Amino acid sequence: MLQSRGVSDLLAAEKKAQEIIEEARKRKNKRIKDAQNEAKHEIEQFKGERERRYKGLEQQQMGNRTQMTEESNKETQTQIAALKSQYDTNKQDLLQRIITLVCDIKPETHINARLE
Amino acid sequence: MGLSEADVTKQIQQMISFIQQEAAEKVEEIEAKAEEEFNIEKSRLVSQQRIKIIEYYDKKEKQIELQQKVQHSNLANASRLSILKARDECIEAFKEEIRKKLDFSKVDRSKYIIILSNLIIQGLYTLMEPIITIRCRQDDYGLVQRLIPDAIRRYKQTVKKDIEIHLDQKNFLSEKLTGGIELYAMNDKIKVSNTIEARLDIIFHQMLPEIRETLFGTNHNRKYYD
Repeated sequence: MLQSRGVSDLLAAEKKAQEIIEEARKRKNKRIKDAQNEAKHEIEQFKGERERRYKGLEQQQMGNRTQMTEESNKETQTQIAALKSQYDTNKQDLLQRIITLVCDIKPETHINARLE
Repeated sequence: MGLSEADVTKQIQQMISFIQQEAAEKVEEIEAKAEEEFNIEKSRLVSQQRIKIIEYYDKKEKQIELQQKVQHSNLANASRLSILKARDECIEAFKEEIRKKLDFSKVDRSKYIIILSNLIIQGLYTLMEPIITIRCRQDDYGLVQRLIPDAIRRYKQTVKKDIEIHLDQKNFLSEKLTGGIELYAMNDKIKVSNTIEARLDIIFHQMLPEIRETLFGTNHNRKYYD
């Protein structure tokens, strides 16, 4: 009588032990599956950060682009204006000189021409 | 006889405790392992993806940098070209200004007459042909006709040869020209263009380096002058 109770208690304890071990194993498998989800979540976050950083740079570059073009054009116009004013300042003497050269004609026979 | 009831109960309790203890230890072991494998798997996946993402965005960011450099270079080029074009236009305008000032055939008649007669004789010396045809502007027809005898005289004096000059009555030089003449020999096969425009072209072209330097200043980037 005692024996059977003792044995059944043992068996029950054994069974319970198996159950909790089995549950632990199930939890373990679930935990490992969780790893995938958590990893995915972390990765999404990381990707979001990089994307934001990239977009920021892109915006900056767009802004720079317009600014650079404007600056370049302004600088070019300044240089062209300086060019034109230099031209106006320096041209008079040269103009006169060229006109004189064009009008100063010295007719000569060819250096090799044989003249009797 | 054997063990008392209490002993048996005690032993069974001990065995049950033992079973429970072992189970608990096993569970602990399993949970520790679970945590460990969780971490390993998670960090494996994360770092694997991280590498790909970093590579991807690094490449894209490099693209941006490249584009900026390209744009900078394009702007510099466009700017240089604009400036060169402006310089060129200045030089063309300069030449045109000179050309307009050379249009004095109606304003300074005596100067024009001297020039015209020199152009004729210079043309004759260049051709050295016995029969010449001269073509002039319609407005200058009378004037040239009056200048031809003197030209013939000077030519004979210097070259000691006879010369026959015809003045083209059908074809004339364009009214747009500022002055001068064209001379033809050998049945119009040889032509000498002795117009004021032609002289300006040649002189201007030869003087271009000096013109550029005077108008725009010395070029500090230039290395060779011979």
